[in-house]
Amino acid sequence: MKLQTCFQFSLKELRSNRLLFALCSLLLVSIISTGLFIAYSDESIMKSFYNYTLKFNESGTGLYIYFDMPYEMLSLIDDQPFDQLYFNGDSDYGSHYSFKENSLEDYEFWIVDVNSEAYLRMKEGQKTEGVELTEDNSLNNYIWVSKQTSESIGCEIGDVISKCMPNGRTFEYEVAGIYSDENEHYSDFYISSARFFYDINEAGYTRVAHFTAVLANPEKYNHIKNVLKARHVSAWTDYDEEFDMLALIDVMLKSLFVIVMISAMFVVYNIEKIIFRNRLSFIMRLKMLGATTGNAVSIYLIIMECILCLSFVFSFILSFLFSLYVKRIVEFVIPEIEFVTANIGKYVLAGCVICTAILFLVMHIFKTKVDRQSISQVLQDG
Amino acid sequence: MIVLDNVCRTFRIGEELVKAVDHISLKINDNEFVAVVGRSGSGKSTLMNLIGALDHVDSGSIIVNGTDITKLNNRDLAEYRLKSTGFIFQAFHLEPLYTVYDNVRIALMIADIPPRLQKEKVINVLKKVGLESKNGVKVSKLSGGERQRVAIARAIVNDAPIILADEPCGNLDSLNSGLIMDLLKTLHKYGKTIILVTHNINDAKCADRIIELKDGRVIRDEASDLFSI
Ligand SMILES: Nc1ncnc2c1ncn2[C@@H]1O[C@H](COP(=O)(O)OP(=O)(O)O)[C@@H](O)[C@H]1O
Ligand SMILES: [Mg+2]
Repeated sequence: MKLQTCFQFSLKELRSNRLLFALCSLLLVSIISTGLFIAYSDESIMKSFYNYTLKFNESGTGLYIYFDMPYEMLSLIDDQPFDQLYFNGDSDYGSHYSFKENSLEDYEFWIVDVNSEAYLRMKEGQKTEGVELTEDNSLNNYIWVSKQTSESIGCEIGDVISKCMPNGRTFEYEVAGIYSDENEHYSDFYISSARFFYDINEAGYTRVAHFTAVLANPEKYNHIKNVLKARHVSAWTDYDEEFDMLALIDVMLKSLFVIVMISAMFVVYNIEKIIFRNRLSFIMRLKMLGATTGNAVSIYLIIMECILCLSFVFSFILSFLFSLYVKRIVEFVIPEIEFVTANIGKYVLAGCVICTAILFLVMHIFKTKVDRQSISQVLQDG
Repeated sequence: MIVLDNVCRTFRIGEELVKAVDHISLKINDNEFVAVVGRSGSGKSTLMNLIGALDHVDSGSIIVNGTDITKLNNRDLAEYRLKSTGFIFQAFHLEPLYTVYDNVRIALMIADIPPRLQKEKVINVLKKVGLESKNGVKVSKLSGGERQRVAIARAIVNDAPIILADEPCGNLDSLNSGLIMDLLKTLHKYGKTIILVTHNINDAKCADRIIELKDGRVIRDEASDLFSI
């Protein structure tokens, strides 16, 4: 039997069994649109939220993730897909600086690296009396004072500034230079970071640095957070509560989606069973007239495939219309959110492929079954 | 020629094994008109189904024009049913929701006859059975006699050489039975091999030869003019 003939039979069967096939289509549409709606809502809500987390960053380039960890453990996060990573300097470890017994609590101390951009920027337009900070002297116990500060506290080159760590260890720095800064990059003191960290180490502390990582794609945040957590680094963002809530919604919707997917498979399977039960005697009459089982089964394969595709198209439209309400609800709850409509084309495609595979599988099982049955018996039983 | 050699078919009904066809050996020549008679349950239908490849034998062979159909695969069996046999049943086995025309056309569609030839063939065969005026009517609206004539039209439209009729008049009054028997006689005249299962001894007398079955065995096989009850 040619394909064209199969099509003709399919049309005839469709026409003379409208109710049966209408019922099947209804079942398919209801289950598929439920699945697509869940997928639509889930992805839209998540995407909109991720978008929202980017919206309030000054740069708008990504989600800011913060974490503290020992500077030496930087290699721990090497493998993470951060788009940018800023090192925010170290904690000051609660050190107290003093000059001639006077506390320097009100003054600002910068820890600078001789090569760091921050330092090079600061040096622009800076004139220094005495020694400049260089690579060679970066480990010396030198300290630099701004002209203004040196005048207000009365210190000169060669004087000693001492620093007392919380654990009682004391370090002394010699004033190596006095600088005047015409730019805004203004600080009262600066110390070479190499020397600073050397002392921190000497005092028995571990360097803990603040990091800010920028993640262009916030969807990865939850995963990264868990990976870092397993490495004993706790990361946070300004949206952690929302992330937790969203993760909950995500898990809920995804589980629902899985349930719906499994049900959809059952529905496809059972619809085919119903159709075959109903049309078995017709199939056997065709066989009696000389059709092969393959011919007879193809008639229903064509019908089912058409119904399936139409159901997907219809469900796609239906779930899209429903998702407009999700948009309204989300925008009502978070007015400043910018709703991102998910692209569920891939779900439609995957669904079609999976359902078609099931279709073929069931058809094959059924064909084998029919081949084994005797025609006369089915005709006799009606 | 149809040759049955030691054909057996057993059914299991509950615990019991029923030998519906029990070591039957027969020869039926081309263009022979054979009637099969016997009590209900004697295995007549089973025998027909085996010859028409609607059922499979447990043992033995059925050779039709040199081919042992018990050894064919599913595809060749379909081909055999399509090209060699036309079935007529007591229960018609038509598509009630299709029109007369479509019921006959089904057989042509399965045979992949080009659509432009289908119409001519259907109308021709409906003329032969006297139903050309009803071709657009749904089968569910026809009388029993008309339905059986549709079934005959469907059975002969592909020009199969063997017609298997299993009590075709079982549900019909004598007038309609007469019409059907006349049709079968005409088909015989045009060269078909006809195997007819019947309860009616007068119908059986139309055949050249009568075979009587009992408990799945042939108990009598003789020319119809010699046959007496
Ligand atoms: N499909 C079947 N399943 C079980 N038993 C069957 C089946 N077909 C026939 N039989 C049994 O086989 C015997 C012969 O049946 P059948 O050939 O229909 O007889 P007839 O047509 O002469 O009335 C009967 O006893 C019947 O019950
Ligand atoms: Mg019978």
